[in-house]
Amino acid sequence: MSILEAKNLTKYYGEGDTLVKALDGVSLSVERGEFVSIIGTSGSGKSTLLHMLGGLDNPTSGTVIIDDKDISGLKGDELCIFRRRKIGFIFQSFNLVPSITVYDNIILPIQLDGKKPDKDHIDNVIETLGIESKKNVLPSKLSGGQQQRVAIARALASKPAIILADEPTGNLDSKTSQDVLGLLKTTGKKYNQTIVMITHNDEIAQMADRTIRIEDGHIFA
Amino acid sequence: MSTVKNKTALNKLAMNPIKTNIKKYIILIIAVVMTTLLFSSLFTIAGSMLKEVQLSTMRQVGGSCHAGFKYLSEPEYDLVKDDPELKDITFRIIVGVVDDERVIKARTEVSYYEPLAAEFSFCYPEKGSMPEAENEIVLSDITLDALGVSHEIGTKFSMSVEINGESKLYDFVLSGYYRGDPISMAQMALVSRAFQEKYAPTKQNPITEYEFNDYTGWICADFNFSNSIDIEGKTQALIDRTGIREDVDTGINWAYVGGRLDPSVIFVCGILLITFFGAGYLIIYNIFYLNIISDMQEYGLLKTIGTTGKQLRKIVLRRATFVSVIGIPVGLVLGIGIGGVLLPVISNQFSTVSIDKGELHLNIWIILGAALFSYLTVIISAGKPCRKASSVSPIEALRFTETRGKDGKPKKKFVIVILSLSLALLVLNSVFAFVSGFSMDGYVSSMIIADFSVQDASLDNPSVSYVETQAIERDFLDALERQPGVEAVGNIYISEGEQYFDDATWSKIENGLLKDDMVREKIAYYYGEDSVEDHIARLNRDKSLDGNTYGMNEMAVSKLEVIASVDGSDRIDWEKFNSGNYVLITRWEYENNYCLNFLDPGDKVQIRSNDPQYMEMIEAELENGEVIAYPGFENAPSREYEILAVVDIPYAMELQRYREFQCDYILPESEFLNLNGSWKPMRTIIDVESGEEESMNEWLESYTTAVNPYLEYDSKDSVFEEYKSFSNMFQIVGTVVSIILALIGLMNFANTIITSILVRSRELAMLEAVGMTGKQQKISLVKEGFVYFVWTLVVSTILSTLMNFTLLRFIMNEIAMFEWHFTLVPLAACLPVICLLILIIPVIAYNRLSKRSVVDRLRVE
Ligand SMILES: Nc1ncnc2c1ncn2[C@@H]1O[C@H](COP(=O)(O)OP(=O)(O)OP(=O)(O)O)[C@@H](O)[C@H]1O
Ligand SMILES: [Mg+2]
Repeated sequence: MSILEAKNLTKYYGEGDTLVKALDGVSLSVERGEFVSIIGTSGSGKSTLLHMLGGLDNPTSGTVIIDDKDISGLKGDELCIFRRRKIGFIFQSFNLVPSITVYDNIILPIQLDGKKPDKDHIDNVIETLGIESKKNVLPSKLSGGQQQRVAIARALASKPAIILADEPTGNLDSKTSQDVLGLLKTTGKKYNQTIVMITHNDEIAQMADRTIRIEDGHIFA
Repeated sequence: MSTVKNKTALNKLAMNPIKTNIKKYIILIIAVVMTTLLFSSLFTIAGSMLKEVQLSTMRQVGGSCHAGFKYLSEPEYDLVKDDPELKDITFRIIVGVVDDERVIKARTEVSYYEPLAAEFSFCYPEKGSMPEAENEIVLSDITLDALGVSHEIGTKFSMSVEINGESKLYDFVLSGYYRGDPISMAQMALVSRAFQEKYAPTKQNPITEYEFNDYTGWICADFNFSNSIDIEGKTQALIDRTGIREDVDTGINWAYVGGRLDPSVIFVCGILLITFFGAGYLIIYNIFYLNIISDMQEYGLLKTIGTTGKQLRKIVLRRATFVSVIGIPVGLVLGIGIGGVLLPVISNQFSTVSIDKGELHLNIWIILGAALFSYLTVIISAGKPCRKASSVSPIEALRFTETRGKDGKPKKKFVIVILSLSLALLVLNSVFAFVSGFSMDGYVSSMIIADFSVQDASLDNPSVSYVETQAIERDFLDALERQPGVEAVGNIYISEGEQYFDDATWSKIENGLLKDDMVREKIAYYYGEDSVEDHIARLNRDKSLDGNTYGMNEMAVSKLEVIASVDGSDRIDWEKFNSGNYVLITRWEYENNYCLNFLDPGDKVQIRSNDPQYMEMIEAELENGEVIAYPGFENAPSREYEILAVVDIPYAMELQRYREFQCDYILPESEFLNLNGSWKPMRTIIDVESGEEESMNEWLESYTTAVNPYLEYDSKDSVFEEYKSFSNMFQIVGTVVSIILALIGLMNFANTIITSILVRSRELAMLEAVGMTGKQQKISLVKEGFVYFVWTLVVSTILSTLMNFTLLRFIMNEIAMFEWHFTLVPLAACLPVICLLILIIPVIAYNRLSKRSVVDRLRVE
């Protein structure tokens, strides 16, 4: 049974001469617990697709169904809460809140939901990612790779059913990349999480159950 | 437990950025302070002045009660006194009036007051106590001084009191006194109940028509309702409910009615208010709008990580509240402080109350209003990026950039900045134009027409109901003639009454004047909407209008203002006028200088003689069958005159009492005396040779005290003196207000430039990172500021010019004390400073920014 499904998704930017078809009729279905990787050249529409799947942006046409729910039917705050509870998103550009500490950033989505963070789980994630010593500093004091690891920790902290990761290892060395991937896979197994991950690295892509190739807004299975 | 977590998280998200972005918030707070200051100082001054004017009206009227019934008998008072709708009811009983040479110039009425009534009428003794024993009395310090009685409780003195038309000397003991206000129409003398019952026993039967000149022994009730809304309606309801006489003499306190505001004044005030509010609003909005990009991006970021719209609004509200909680109180304190400093200066110059003048009347609603307005502006402005962020997807919000014009510059931001700067300057310019247009000359010249004016002491006192209009004795005129330095003497005679018209002339009035809507409006105002047709029918039957006939000599006639004349000249040809065949006529006048001619030059009118020898008692039968007699001139001979010119009589010359039409004629002195027989002048105006003012002043002073205390005089110098300080006040207040506004305008500009640099500190760092030198950046910032400057210059000049020629000209032409002229001086004064700011601020701001390394600045804020 699929937990995540996209039907005929399109996303156009601009109009006339400047029209960009970032996604052009993409359909795809991901099973519960599956680990899918997405590859494609730069500018092919990977991030755009992931944003649509996560309900972070509105498609020009087509539908996204998460857990049997058509998310286009959800309005504003409903969608926000639904997403907050179901999906952990790792952004290509991290999107950390600059004014609060690393630890606060990590538990922020949980706090916003009015829940109590699972401290053991979070400590475990932080330790595996090697950022314990940076827990109490502001994001602007971190290196690019460190910021990326904080973004990963934030996505995993609430044990979401779905993890959408946009090049989670793009700024990391190969050793750290392996650790991060290991973490994703083990927590994925443990909590039966569905993972969709964008990567440029073929080797990493191979670790997934399935690989999807995207080019010029079209999917090549 | 969980909600606590949620709260602390939101709190951190709301407050932490303030710490890291402290400069931005300081600027926001300054904007809030400026706006609040603008409103609170304005409101404080306006509110306190209104309050003072209201208090002054109350003192003039003589009471603070909502309404009152006059001339009640005791049983009638008993009907109303227990009415449940009344919050307070109290009364006084009229006894008489002090009839003593010493108090001619301080009219003093004698009554018994209940203590509450004394309080409501501002005459409760401040020293001593209310009168108890029969011979005890409370007076005002003004009356005491006039009597020459010491301010000592227990002092024994006697004075003559007129009761029931009979003057007699009574002995009193002073039991207390209060501070009298010279603006009051009359001073009060409070006697004991025993005194009143003995000499002016309370009336037991309702008043009848013939007693209208006899006030002794009637009860005057004063009462308050629970609130001052629709006092007129409530009073009518009270009459209906209690079954008291339908025609009871009712007085509504006009201090609560607020006068009749005419629509054009409301319109003009409305526009001014909107301009002020608009300027204040834009100052805050402007600063918030400059931050819209970083705000939108911040909100977009928060949305992507799961902050709901509701939580976002809470964050925004918390920040807005933070800015307001600091900015608004500071603005209020500064504004009220400035208001408090200015108020005595302003108030001193208005003839409002003279006791406790210039006090700050802090109206809590006004303060709350100013605070609320600032707070709402902050919330609306701060909520704008939030609303925008809520309406788009998180990714779109994150990538938000402003819609840009063709040249790549953000259009909307540009418009808002220019508007905010221009509006502040426009307000400044308008206030200055208003202040500098203040000119007493035109106004004062209508107040004084000659160096001196002599008349009966009570003639120009509006509180005195019967005045002596033949006060100038031959003795005085003879003595005046013997005085050295007199240049010209003008005599003004008056005979009061009605003007009668023949059929042909009346038909001109009937089809001209009486058809005018404003005339009908005035009749409706006097007699009620329903009585207009009846009243006009009665006029048509009688063919008469109320009006006085003046007699004036050559000097007085030369002071008249000619509106229209037979030969089109604006001077009266005295030789021709004095031939005895001509008359001058005034115009019908209503609010806002709305004037209509009764008749035109060349028309003919008859004037009836008022010579006492033709007076006869005319009998009329009343509805109840009784017959009364009143004096009239029904059968006196009349003479025909041709109207030589339509004129206006300067205020200072006329009898300052007005009826609905006021159709006045002016005859030459000799013809007036010819027609009316022996008659004495009402007023004598005197011009003296220059340099002789002082000696004439001294002579008049001694004459009106020692020789004839019933006379009083006014001098041009004293009037000028009075208005000079008024105009000084206007200058001071105007200057201070202009300076405040100029500072607000300049701060607004500085704020704007600093913000636009702060907002782009990262962008600037990037430019530097790719090789733009500091100097190049400063030049580009200055250039950008210069574009703002040029636009502000153009827009504010255009707006101010328009304002000058439209609203300002309209208002200032409307008010006698102002002379409109075009001015852009404040703009000329401020714009160079603004130009300087444009050069200096980017340099300073940039130098401060560049203290941090480029890499540092490039990091995520
Ligand atoms: N806000 C936008 N406005 C206009 N065009 C956009 C916008 N966002 C993305 N695009 C365009 O859509 C296309 C797909 O962009 P997307 O970010 O999905 O690429 P990507 O596959 O993630 O690339 P990369 O591997 O470099 O991250 C690109 O051509 C991009 O220029
Ligand atoms: Mg991408």
